[in-house]
Amino acid sequence: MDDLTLLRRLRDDVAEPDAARLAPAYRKLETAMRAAEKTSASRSPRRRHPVRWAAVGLTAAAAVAAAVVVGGVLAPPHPQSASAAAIVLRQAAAEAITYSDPEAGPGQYLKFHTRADWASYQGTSDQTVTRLPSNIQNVDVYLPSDPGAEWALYRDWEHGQTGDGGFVAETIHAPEGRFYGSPWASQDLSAIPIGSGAETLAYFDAQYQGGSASRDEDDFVRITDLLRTYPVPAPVRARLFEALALIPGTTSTDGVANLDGRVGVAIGRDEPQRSGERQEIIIDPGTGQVIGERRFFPAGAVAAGEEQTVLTAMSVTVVDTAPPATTPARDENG
Amino acid sequence: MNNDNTVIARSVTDPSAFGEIFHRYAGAVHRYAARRAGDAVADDVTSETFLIAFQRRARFDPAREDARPWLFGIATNLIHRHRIATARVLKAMERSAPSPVTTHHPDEALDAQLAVGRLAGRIRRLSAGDRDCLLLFAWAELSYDEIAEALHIPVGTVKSRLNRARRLLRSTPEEGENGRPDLAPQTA
Repeated sequence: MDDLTLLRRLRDDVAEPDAARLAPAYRKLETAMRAAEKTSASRSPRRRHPVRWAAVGLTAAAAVAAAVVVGGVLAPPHPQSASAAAIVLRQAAAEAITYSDPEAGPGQYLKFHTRADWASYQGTSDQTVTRLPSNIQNVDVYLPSDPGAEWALYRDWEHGQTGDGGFVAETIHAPEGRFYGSPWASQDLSAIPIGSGAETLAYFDAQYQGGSASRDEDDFVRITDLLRTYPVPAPVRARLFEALALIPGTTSTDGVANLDGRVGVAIGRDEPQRSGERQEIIIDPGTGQVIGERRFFPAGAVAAGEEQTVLTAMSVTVVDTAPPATTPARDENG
Repeated sequence: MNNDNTVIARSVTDPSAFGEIFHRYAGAVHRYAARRAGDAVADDVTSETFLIAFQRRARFDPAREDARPWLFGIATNLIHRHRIATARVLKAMERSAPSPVTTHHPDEALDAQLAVGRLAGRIRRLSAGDRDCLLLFAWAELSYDEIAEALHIPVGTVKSRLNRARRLLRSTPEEGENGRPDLAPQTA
């Protein structure tokens, strides 16, 4: 063995530090960054209306709801450092690749189930908002193993769409998931490069067309929107996790339960111009599965004096049949 | 993905963007410092490296796409403040090797252990400048040009320091540079 090889092996057992070890260093840097933010004269804080942000929504079905949906009650998030998030995401990416996703056989469907506690707020003409009774929505998307077969969308509100029992349930069938005119997935998965997380992020970043509070926020939201609305296959999902790890401001919060009580890690992002509002996906770091989402609104963002948390739970299973259609597919406007 | 210079340039007007630089390199900087001076020192060095880099971000050369040489250069200077810890790490490796005088077991693992002990002793005896070049090359995996950038020295100096350091690593236990017997250990 030559001297250089031996030298390279010397103390090679010293590993890169874990998130907990790096957290104090990041906190000091974060303090310095925040202090610099405050003294930066060039910034002009710009907030998008929280209602508009909420309307990014879980699904097209949610978007057609008359009331703006926000809600649920949970403890506010306590995000850890960016490096902690990166470590969690990379671990989840590695697990996603090794974990066997459910796979639909011939004639079967992949059922992507979302259970959501939105709680609803109704805006009024005098700029005030009124909280509607808490309600649970179920959204099931059935993806056929045969790409030419029709997809199915089932959705219901346990207490009716507006809490008065006016709408209970419906099922829509459409090819390629075009229940409301456009494909269900917000991205063409086959076009997403998966050579590396950086490559995947560059792809999303190149699609930026303005909007959001920042370019980074927009990249984060478009990636998480895809993850929380579609059962993204493991190879792509892993790269999406790695891409999120590369976005500045991405943070993680351990021990977050989804709406069904399954505990995972919430991946969110601190956007300086969002005044504490956060949009997160909850992942199981042991399997690399997305198991829910959480959105947090500080007091005053939606309703005066009230913090609000939207919480959902997601799961993917294989089923033999999809429910029959009850309602025809609609156009882009629902 | 944005290059480091793009992120750092953005952080001048959007300070929080600098968190991405931490996210990209804090682990590597910590590991490099821990290999040289132990975990406790590495905690301090990593923290201070990124604080200093953040304070100096407006002076980062926008033509440099990779921030690693800059960060490892800052970290290396900070490690110099911890000479005792650095020497302690190398001495511990020397001590962990069995004495060649008392050991004659023809076991390969034992030979390797002896070699590690000898190597640690020779690294400890290098000058600070030579040691920096050698460890930035072997442990931080910087190129000659990147080491020059990190230490603010000409590339030619990097090459001569590395040649000298490697020659000393290869010398027999009784020899130092130019075949002269090793003198008393230098300050690490």
